[in-house]
Amino acid sequence: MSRRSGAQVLCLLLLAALAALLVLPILKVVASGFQTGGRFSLFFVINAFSREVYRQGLVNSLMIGLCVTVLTALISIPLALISHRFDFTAKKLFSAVVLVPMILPPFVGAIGLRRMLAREGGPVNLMLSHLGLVDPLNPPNWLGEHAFWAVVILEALHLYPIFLLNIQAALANIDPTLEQASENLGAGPLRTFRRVTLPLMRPGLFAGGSIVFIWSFTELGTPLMFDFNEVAPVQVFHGLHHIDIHPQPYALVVILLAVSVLVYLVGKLLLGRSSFAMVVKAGAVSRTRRLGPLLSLAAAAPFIVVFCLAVVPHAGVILLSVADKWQGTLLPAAWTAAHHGEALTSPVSLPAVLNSLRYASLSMIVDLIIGFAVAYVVVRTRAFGRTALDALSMLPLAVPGIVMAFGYIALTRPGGMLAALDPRSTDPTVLLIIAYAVRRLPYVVRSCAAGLEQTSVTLEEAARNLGAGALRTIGRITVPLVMANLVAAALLAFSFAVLEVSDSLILAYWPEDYPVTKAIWELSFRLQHGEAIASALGVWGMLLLAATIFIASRILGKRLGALFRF
Amino acid sequence: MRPALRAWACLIAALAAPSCREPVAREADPDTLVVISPHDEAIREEFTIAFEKAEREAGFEGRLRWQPARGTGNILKLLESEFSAARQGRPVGIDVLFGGGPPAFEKARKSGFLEPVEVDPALLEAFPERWGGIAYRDPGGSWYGATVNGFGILFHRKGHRERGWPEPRAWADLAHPRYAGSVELADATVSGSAQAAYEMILQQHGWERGWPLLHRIGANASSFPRSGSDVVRDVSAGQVLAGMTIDFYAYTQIDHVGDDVLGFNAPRGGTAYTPDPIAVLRGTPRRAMAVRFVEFVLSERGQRLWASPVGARHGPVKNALFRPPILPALYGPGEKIVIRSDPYGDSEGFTLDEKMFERRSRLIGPLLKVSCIQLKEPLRRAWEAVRANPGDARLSELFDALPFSEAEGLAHADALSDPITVEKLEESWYRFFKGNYQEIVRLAAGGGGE
Amino acid sequence: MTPIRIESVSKRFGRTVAIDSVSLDIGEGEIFFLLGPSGCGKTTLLRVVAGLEVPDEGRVFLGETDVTDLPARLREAVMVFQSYALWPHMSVERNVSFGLEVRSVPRAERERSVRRALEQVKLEALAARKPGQLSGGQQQRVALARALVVKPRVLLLDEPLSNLDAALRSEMRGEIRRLCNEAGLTALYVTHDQHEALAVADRIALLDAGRIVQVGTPREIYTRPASRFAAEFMGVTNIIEARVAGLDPALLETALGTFGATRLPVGIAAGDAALVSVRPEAWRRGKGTHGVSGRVATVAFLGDHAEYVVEAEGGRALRVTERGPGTGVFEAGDMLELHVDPVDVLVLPAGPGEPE
Repeated sequence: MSRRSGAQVLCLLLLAALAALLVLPILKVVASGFQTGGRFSLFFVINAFSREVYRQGLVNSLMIGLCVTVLTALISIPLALISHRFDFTAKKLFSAVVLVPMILPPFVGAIGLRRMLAREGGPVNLMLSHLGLVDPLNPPNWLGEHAFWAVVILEALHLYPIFLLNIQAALANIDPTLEQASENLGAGPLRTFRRVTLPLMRPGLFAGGSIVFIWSFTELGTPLMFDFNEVAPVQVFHGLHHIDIHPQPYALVVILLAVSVLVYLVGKLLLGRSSFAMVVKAGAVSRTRRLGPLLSLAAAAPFIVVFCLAVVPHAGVILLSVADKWQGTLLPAAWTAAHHGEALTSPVSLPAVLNSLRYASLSMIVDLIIGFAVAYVVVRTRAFGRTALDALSMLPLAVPGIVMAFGYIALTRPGGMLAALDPRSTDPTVLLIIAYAVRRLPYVVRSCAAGLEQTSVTLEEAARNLGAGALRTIGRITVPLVMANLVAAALLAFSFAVLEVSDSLILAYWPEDYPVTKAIWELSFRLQHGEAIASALGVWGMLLLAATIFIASRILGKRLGALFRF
Repeated sequence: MRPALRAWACLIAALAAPSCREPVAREADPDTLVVISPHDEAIREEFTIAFEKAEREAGFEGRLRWQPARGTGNILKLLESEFSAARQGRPVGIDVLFGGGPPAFEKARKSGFLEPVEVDPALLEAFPERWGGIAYRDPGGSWYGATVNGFGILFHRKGHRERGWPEPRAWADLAHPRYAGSVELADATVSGSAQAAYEMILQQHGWERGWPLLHRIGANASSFPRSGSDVVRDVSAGQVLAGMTIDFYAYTQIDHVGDDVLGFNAPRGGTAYTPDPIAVLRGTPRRAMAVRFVEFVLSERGQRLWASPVGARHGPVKNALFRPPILPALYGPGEKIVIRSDPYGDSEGFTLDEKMFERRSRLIGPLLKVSCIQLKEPLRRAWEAVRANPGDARLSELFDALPFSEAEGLAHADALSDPITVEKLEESWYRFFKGNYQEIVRLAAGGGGE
Repeated sequence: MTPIRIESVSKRFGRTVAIDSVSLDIGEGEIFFLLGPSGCGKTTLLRVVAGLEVPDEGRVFLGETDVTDLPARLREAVMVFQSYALWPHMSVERNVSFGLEVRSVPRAERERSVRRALEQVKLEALAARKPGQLSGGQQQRVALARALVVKPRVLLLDEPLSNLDAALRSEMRGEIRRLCNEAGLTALYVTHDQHEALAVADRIALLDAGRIVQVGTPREIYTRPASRFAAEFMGVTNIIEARVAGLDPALLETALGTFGATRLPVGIAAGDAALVSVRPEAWRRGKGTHGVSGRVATVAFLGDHAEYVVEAEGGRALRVTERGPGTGVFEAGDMLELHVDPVDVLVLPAGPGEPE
């Protein structure tokens, strides 16, 4: 009885916390979008549709979302199928290497890409004109005339690993005998794929697709870096500075939110319909075909091609960070380590690095505590409201970062409910920690829930049976048993918080409060060495994220993919 | 278990501790001056070092805190937010506005954001009150010019050489069709320097001839970044071949990449040297220190930071700043400075109508935003059609048409403060330009068939 | 014509030898069992026949055709998977008709065949359900119907009953046998359950560690196991170390006394070491020519029979099963006299003990 009521109290507390940190900001944004001068008004929402420039911005955002989703699918489905079907030389290496693009926020990649694609003397155009493919006196203007596609391609190359992990997780979930049964009944590979594999991996497709769509639909940093202004999130960002006197951005944000939630729900609905509880039976041998050296190369080729394309921005960032002079040559003419030195010591960047570490680690701790508690209540108890808790904790997946950031802005405006936390007048640490923690919560909850589900409840019952109280049981039995999941979740929460863009750009006002992403953003506009120092900081960010993802994947193995699903 | 718990507690405490540092320092600390400024990190750093040193020498303990704000438009919007918050009872947290161009300061003055202050008259005697038709300080003491900005064309010298193009020397050169897709302009709704440059084009050529010129330069633009420094970055990277920019951005970047790659020309008779002021904000609790900072910036010691080589006496410590000082004495013979501009020497006979500049400052940006930035694709196609049919006057006429006369425009400019009016006006311009562009393409297609 | 012929097939996984040079001939219409403990290679062998594994050495023939290099889908050797491998996204009907669609059977005929197949397994009422809505036994029958409907050359069954409860298992045994016989199918059936094998098989190949230990009818394998492994795998038995004391009549000397036997392994000579195997139910009560006496250590009364552990002289524990009227009258501590008919005494070559 007391245990039940304890769980119930915990559940209600968590619900209240999420309502305050998550639902309230969203409601505030929605309310602000329907107001003019403090009174209810539909003008700005209607204006968002009736003014062609905003409509065009929304259409462009939708197109970016769609194109990025399709492109990521086209990139990742073949890769997933190849690694599902075949066993080839260095497969593990290639499978790991194609996940590399995740380690860089695309807006940092944009700095590198902008240099690689520069019209006059950019390495890509130089290479193409050396090959005689483009006119050296009238080289293609990739960034000016093809900014839409530059944004799409850059985001797709950044986001495909999420899609890939989702499909791989879905494929790994398919009992291999289901495909073997089809083959055994005489179906060829194509028919087996169409009739059996494809329908069964649909959950992965929907999950990956929805995440990638929402992500790219609301992505701010990349179009901003390419000066692609006719996109809703950029229009919102541009409107940020006069938000107190001109509420149009709120109305745009409301629409972004509505579309994202709609996509999420549709994805969920389709997912629900096509989700099959499949238990992979022990002894069901998955049959990967071992390939000889020549076929191995053929199987690895798509991985190599995708990898090479995906790391062009990274290569640009790394080159920029060590280039002393890089004007009109394929590679920098002189090299230097000074930018890295500057990046780690300069008065802008060093505090930023420390700030990021602080914000990220504190938000990680908040995430772990709330995430574990939520997972525990949802998986292990029958408390009333746990379904709502589960749904709430997944909500950040459907709500774009820019919406949440705007919600916090709205709440902390003078006269707002949290005016004491106004980032313009006080230390934004608390606000940033909350913002970071909320965005990463779904991953942590999912990781913890996966751990709890894989751990037999009887182990905890045994401890209780021997007289241990609920807290002792959790501390001594449950937590150690799901430690791997906790560690992996912590690493991911930490590293993605370090490279968080929307909240950081919008919520950090003062230079000494800047996290590393905002410092990179600021630095990239400085003349002379600004880009180089920004790139050097970006490189350190990449190293950090690469290390954490590597460790997380070692701990979680294939389950890593499950963290990025919904 | 217990020691481990304690270790965790310590770790969390250590992480959380810095966030408790100097609680609400921003409003309460009497020795920390908060300066909002679009100046870059190098300028911020040099002035911090030098001013704090001067403070210590004078027996004070003043420190500087910067709030960087990119783009003049943003600064104004930020001030508007700040003061609208102040009306709701919260004190203004910013003391000094440093940089951003005269229109911003004039607007701020009119909105009542600036506090008139008196500075040491000895300092003021050293530089003129007006030059080339432009006030170098506010007669009422609301703001003081701290440095001057000239405008010009930064171009990719190497790219021009390879194509055999002449160097661009006048604003009109950038409207030449060969620059289609090779020019970059900053968004004047955000960048004050871009606004100033466009106003100079309009004043040099007059509204009737200036607008089409400006519009055609806009049509040549490959993109419209948010600030003048982005233009410099993109010309330097070779993304575009030329752009309008403030002189000191150009000097900075030429110093960085070499004058074989980049070049800078101030257009003949096309630029005035506008002051970049400094001002004290109304209601600051640190007024005395704010005045000390203004006086420091106007002093010879402060002025020498702008253009002296690194390491020179009273010069910058880390980076040369490449900005023309407002103090005429520093351009005298025997003075060693790192820039070629001389606002008091190369008098080109260009006189700026400041009143017009100020009145139109709210208009030019939004107009170009609608006609060029928001309608980029239709504009590109229309401009292609115009270039392909150079003899067709109908096309040029449509292309250069404006949704309002100069007088109407000025009336609009005064009304552009209510958000709903802004949205409605901009939408009407949008329809006007889009209709014209589409008509041009349609006419050109029809004309090609004849 | 031999429907299935396996010639010296070997298969290794890494350093583990899964199948070690196995050869088998399976006759027309035969229900042939591969029986052995888990890990003995029986499932691998079945998958080799299905084409889901490629053997490292050896050939596989289906009928006259060498199918060793033929892809699985062209073999017409249809398998019932241990997990049933029913596609969760297709209805029962779609599952069953899949093989016919692949074979481009016209729609009308396809529907007829599916209906007949579902009738055969008594599931016609559930045709529209998804597999997730069926019980284990029903899923099992769908899997069977899906395999049978395409009229395969041979049917492969991989532990088809292992996921069912005991009652359903014995029902399905009869069902599978009936279905195979009705269709005149040749079936290759993998199981680790000797009762299943004894009940259903025409012939059994007993496998251990990738090798065939013995091939024979259920009766032969049970009553004439060729090795200690075979004897012990086919049921509980008492193995007693012995030495051959006489050849005609066969006499074996053990620590418990002398046993008579009716047969000796081929090639064994007087004085050789041997093993005597006596099934618990072979012991008779009372003194006989070759008797043993002991004290009852434990009693388990199971209704129709009783199981004793009897401690014989020298502390040797014997397992004894008593059936029939009057069962279960002994209690722990009672002295018992036991003997065994020479017909029921199995003599096995000593050799190195077969690895478990």
